[in-house]
Amino acid sequence: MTRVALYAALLGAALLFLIPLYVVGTASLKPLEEIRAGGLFSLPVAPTFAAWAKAWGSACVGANCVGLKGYFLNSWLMALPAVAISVAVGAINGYALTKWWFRGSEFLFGALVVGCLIPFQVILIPAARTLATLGLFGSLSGLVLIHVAYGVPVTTLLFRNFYLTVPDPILQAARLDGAGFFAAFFHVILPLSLPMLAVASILQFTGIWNDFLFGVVFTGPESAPVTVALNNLAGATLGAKEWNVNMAAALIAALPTLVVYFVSGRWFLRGLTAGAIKA
Amino acid sequence: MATVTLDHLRKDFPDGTVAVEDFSLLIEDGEFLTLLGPSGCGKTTTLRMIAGLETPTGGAIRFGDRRVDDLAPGQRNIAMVFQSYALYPHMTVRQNLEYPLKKHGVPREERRRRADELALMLQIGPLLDRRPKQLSGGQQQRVALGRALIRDPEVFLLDEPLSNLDATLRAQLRAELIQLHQRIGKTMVYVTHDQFEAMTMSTRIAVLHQGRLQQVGTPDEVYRRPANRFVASFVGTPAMNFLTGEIAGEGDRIAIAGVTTPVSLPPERAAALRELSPARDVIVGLRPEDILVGTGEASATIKLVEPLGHEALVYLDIGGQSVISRASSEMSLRAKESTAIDFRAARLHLFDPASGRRLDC
Repeated sequence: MTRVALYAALLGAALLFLIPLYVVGTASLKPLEEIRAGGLFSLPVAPTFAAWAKAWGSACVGANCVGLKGYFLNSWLMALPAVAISVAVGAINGYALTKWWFRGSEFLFGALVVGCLIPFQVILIPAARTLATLGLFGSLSGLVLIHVAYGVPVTTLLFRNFYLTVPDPILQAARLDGAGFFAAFFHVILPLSLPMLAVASILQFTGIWNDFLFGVVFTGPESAPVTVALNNLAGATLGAKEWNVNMAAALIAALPTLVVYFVSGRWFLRGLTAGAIKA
Repeated sequence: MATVTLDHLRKDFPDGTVAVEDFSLLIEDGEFLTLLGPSGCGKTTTLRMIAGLETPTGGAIRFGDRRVDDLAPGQRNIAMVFQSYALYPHMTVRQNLEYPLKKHGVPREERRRRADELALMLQIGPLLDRRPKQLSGGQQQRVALGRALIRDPEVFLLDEPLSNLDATLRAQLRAELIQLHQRIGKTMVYVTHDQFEAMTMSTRIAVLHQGRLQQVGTPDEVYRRPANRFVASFVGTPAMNFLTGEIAGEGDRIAIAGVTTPVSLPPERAAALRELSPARDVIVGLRPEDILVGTGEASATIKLVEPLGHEALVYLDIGGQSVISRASSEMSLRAKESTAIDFRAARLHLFDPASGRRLDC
């Protein structure tokens, strides 16, 4: 009996989350007339990928009718380096903070964690000034830099807590065997970090890919990420609203994070629950 | 080949505790030296300073004539075996063994040959392709030994390597370690809190307490002539008994509180004492085997008898002072009865009540 109730509750919750996705998905496959005719939950009568093609290649993003494809690429060009750098720096930070104690390391860690707590809005203006001074304002590199700066406290925290569970003697053994700071990291510590690398990468990727605020503030019309472009596409007021194109564009923008979760969800869970490594 | 010299070594931790203080010791080439003491005595810190994992805050460490304090652990030509084995979990046994060689640029063929050799010697050949997780504790410790041996280091450091093993395995690996030391003849520094390991394996034992060296000597010296009360009580099971007493007669007798007849000392020991201390309070140390039950002029009450098979431990009350004695298991001793006891005068130890130092030298 409880089992039935349990499944019913879970199914209900799943539906709650899936219904909007269903509406978006079906709408993106319908011609505009079908949408106008109403029937929010009906399946498309004549399914077509025309809206997807338009969203991808020719829909108007603001005044430029070039589709999302360029911005989609921008997002990759932004997210990949930002994820790679912030995860790499976080891993090395966490390793240095836990395995190479030095005077002030505790304070440094405290200062880094404060970085996790500062709301984005607070740093917008100082960050803009900094980027302008560096000559990176309005460029993708500038956006990458901001995401790295904002990602490092989180990744450092993740890796530090993970490395606390790695027994110190393993590292000491490596040092005695002749490994220095980086050799010990790459040969011994990093191979033990795969679950945490997965978790940190997934968290960073979704966070950075989905970011809108930094994207809209720090990039120009050419260098905007797909989230900003989606906003401009959906907000374009020329003529009638093309709901099917908007829906297709939303799905295009959301697809990479969805795929990441589908492919690596199991890794993600395993990493989150990863416990102590036995020496 | 290397001697290890500790020269007024000192370690202060940032929180203000002094882990090791004024520790000087010359460890001979090829010696098996054990650092023995209770937890927190500074023995592991000392070992870690020799390894280079801790930086001394004072003094110097030399291997031969070479000062090593400023060298990184990997440059000291040492190897260490950890209590927790500290094998690399993601590497196979073979990769674990070969890693130190790899870090020192030994070519692949040579690495394979040496790993095979060691695997044969340590009887871990069939395990070479397994990962540490798939091995038992004893097997893991053998691999850890192998990883330490493979580079042919000058000095071996062993940090309680047997503590995580069960009793049978511990005895077996203890014997293997002794044989290993005899065969390779390298300088070994061994840390343990287990006096039994220290007694059975060591060339010499250095007893530490609260960061200070208490005594260094062969197992026999440490057992027969403990330098102070701490060493006397720490080495030996059951521990040495301590009774209050005073020097009596002309310095040739010891009056033990609660015992009517003073114990006469052999002439050579009496002579040493007479100069040192006329009529004074002392702490009398007696090992359980030096209190004889069922014979002698003194008497005591039996509180408890613990039969161990080959012998029995007898808990006695001597005039209000509790002691433990060893007796033959063939004697019929019963609790609450009175028994005659005697002391082996030649083997009693005298300590200063205030400083705890041994009185006769």
